Amino acid sequence: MTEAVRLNGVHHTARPTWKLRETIEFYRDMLGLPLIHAVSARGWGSADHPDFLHFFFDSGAGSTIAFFYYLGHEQPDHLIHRPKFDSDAVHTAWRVETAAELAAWRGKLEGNGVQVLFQVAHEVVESFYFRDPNGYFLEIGRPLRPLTELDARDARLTLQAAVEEEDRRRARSEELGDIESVWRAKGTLVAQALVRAP
Amino acid sequence: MTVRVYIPDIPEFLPLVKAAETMSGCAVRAPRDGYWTVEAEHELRFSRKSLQLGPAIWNSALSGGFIGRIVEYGRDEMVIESEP
Repeated sequence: MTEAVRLNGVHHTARPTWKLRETIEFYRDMLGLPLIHAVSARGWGSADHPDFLHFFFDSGAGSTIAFFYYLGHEQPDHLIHRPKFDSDAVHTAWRVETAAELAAWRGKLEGNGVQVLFQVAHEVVESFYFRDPNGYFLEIGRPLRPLTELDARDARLTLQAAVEEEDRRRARSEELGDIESVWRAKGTLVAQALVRAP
Repeated sequence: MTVRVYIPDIPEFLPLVKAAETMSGCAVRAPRDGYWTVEAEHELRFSRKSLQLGPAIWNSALSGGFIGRIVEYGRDEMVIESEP
């Protein structure tokens, strides 16, 4: 018999850094995330793996954010973070619970000279964004409401519409290049669901 | 033909429903299966400023799906028409 498996939150996410001191000062000293573990090791595994440090900052609720620092290893061009929407898709979003906590974090960052790029109320979270010394995109947000079963059902329909519309386009050697097509496909799916609804 | 917008019955999208309820020639049907239905014979027109929507919600305002075609969707105005 197969047992059900589940995950229990984030242990760590990890990214490379070529700015050791600045990264420690930013996460530990400025943000105040305790340094709770550091691996220092000779390179192992692949033959070209450099000696390295791998260190972890506590970001609450059992989660950590971790970095690798490769000794004597020059930053390759493809890992220089470029501040654009596609690179910034890889980011860490931390959670606080209240508007007051969100404002307090924003005040703390700005008081330390960190530029807050923008603050926005999304559908279910209000967030502001900033960068670490590596240029990595960071977000702190507060939930605006709990997620419901309708959110999950709506998400399933959205992605079903997108996947099916993309398949139809590919069959015609076209690309799915606009969200209107997804919304129209979803409209058809919702209409069909409502016909079946009691 | 008709133009029809489905609006998920979740708080951030409800300004669209409230606006539709005041529009002449527009029928608003209470949620079934989680979706409000907003329908007109030829055209639906929404204004971001009168809805008081921020850019994030404005730019996902049709994410519940729709039947018709978008003829205008700028920073402040959205017009959807029935298909010919």
